[in-house]
Amino acid sequence: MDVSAVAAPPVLEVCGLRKAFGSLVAINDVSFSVRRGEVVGLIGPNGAGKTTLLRMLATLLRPTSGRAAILGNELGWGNLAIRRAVGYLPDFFNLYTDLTLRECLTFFGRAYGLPETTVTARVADMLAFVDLTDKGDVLIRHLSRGMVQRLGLAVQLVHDPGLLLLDEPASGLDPKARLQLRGLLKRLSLEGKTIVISSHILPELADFCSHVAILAAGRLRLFGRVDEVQQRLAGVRRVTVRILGDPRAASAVAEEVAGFRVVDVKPGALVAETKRGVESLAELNARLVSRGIAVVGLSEDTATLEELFMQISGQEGER
Amino acid sequence: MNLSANPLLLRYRCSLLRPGQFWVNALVYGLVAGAILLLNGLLYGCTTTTYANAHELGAAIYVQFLILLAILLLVIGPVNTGNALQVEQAERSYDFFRLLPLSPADRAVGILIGRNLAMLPFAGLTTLLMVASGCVGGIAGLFQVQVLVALGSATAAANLAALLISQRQRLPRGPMKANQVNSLLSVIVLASVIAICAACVFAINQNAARIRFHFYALELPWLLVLAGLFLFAAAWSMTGVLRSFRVETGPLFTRPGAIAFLLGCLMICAGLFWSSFHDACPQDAGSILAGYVVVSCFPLLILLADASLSRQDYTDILAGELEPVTLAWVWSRSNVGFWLGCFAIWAGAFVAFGVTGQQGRFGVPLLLVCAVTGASFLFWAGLIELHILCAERNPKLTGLFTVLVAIQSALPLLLGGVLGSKSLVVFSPFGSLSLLAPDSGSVVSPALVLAAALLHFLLGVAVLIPLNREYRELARLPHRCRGA
Repeated sequence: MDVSAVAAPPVLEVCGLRKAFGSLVAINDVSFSVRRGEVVGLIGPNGAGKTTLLRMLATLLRPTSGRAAILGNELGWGNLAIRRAVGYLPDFFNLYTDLTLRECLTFFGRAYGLPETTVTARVADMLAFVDLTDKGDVLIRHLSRGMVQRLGLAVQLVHDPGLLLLDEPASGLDPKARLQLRGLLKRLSLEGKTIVISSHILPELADFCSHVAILAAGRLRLFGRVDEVQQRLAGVRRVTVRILGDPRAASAVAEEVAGFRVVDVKPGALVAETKRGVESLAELNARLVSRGIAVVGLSEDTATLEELFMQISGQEGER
Repeated sequence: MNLSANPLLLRYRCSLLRPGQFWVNALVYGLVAGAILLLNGLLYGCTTTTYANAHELGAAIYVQFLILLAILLLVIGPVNTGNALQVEQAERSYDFFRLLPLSPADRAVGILIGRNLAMLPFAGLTTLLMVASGCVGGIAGLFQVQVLVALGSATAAANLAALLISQRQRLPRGPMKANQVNSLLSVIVLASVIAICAACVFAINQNAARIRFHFYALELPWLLVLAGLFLFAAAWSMTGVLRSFRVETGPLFTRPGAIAFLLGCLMICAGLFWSSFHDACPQDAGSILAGYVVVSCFPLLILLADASLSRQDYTDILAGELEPVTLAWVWSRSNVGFWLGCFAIWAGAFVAFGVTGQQGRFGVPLLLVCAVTGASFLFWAGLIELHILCAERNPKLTGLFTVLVAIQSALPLLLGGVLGSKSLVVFSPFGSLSLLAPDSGSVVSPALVLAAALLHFLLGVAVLIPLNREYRELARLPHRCRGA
């Protein structure tokens, strides 16, 4: 873990944020913070408030109450410093169809204050990043939906924002375009960009999200590192041990380790659960080996984001 | 403000001034301008009946180029400007536009100039051709300057109004939706444009450069008075445009701004009617006063639509209060309270104008008109506010309230007409203006007028009862929200 990143002030700090549309409360008392380099996946069922939250952070919607700060700038209506610091890609958008890609990126670069001397090079970099260099002089109206989506990403990156807010960036894309976009997002996360991304297509988040925020009915149900959230939701740590030999002997040894309960025994493997921390896995492994059991694999089973999503959706449905 | 650094100009230059488009526009313009010159030249050269001399030819071409310029600046320009945000919305790029880190002034200037980049060179060329033909036609330089000043101010007003209307059209809000009132204003602006063109033609043909118009005691060239009115409209439109870009939601006018706007309009209105009212004979004075009432009501109408808080605005304001608010607090900040204050200002100005303009000849009738219209205004304001707060839950209320207002206003007039009774007419707020007629005192007794006012007042109170319940619910809102 990057210690300096933890010590640095958060890129995004949200405190008691609330948005009401008349009597409907879309976002209710949401608080969390995001540090530099973190990629937060915002998940939740339809109507959970994901888009409302992102639009408030992008200064497109005025919060009813609460506060948020982005790179030290308090969220305020029409705050130009925040607008310069943020890149926001709406869920459904288009760009100026009567401009070429290069003209469009140049326009946004200039509007976001890039010096004239650097804007041309930056535009070329962005076109290369989204793999649209050969389309630079084509009118946007001639692009496919996937290309427009990639161009949208380039538009939001041209001014090198400190925080990228992406609302369902893969919606409406075919599988190939989705894969391309996922590749770009992965690269951005590897480059250390701070990103808050909402999506219904959860596998696309799982690959590169460091944190997850689960929204339901306008409230933030869970927020934290992906593994933490997975464990908190599951309540227990579930581990599969693959062994050579009789699994019943191994099962008996595992039951001896404090806090472990064997829940399944199958040929060549057993499944055990514990509420203890990650160090308990090392202890289990050591105990099995010391009793002469040949352990060939020990892995922790984690819930996928999809399972978390379904779990939260299920809880909301029961409510 | 550095125009060349405005990125919106770059964006529009790229899309509107591509060589292919520019040359098509140039060709169209060349054909129109060429046709004007060619046809007039042929008429001058080949016939002797149309133009007697070069002066007449020049004056005729001047008028034709003036009309062309008016079409470019006052029709095509506002259409371009007014479409800017609609195009952004239609193309689904509006969020990006909103997020641009540009000041409201940069946005406004970028759209006003940028969207008209393809038109402005041709407007400049037309101006040159117009001035040249005016010189040939012997049209006085001072008059030409006045025409250009009036046209320039009308251009500013029309384009800014178009931009403002397009900003407000995104927000279905208020009693009559703001865009309905704004559409009405567009018709007025368009009518003004046509009137300018007609007046210019008249002025040139009748050599009316010396026509003067009275503004209070001042005697001014009529074109300059017109220019002043357009500049007033342009200044307020610009204020509105900047505010709409800065705030985006909420009413167009702040409350102090609304009062300043109303006072400005009332002063201008009084200035325009003052001289004719002051010098009018008793028979005409009542009609002039009624004309003043009708014209001075327009700013009130604008404020009803554009200075009103929506239910969402109330929610946001109340959520900002740290302590629970009382019902009285809500009433004091409500639309109804504010509108009644505006009406009081209007009524005060009306009485002051009527009393001072005719040395006190109008006194009691003015107060009676104020009593009837004031009580009616209470009823209307209550209905409009109820509509703002409840129409979301029940959209059918719009129809019901419209019918109620129509019956309250028109039924007495219809009954008065059918039964031939002048007394019944005063039960309508519009009919109450008949009290300003010289012989009204002998036909309608003050007691009857006060009864009419009382009836409207009771109707108003009846509307305020459910409104009070809505306000009570709003007053409880912050509590609920915090607890939620």
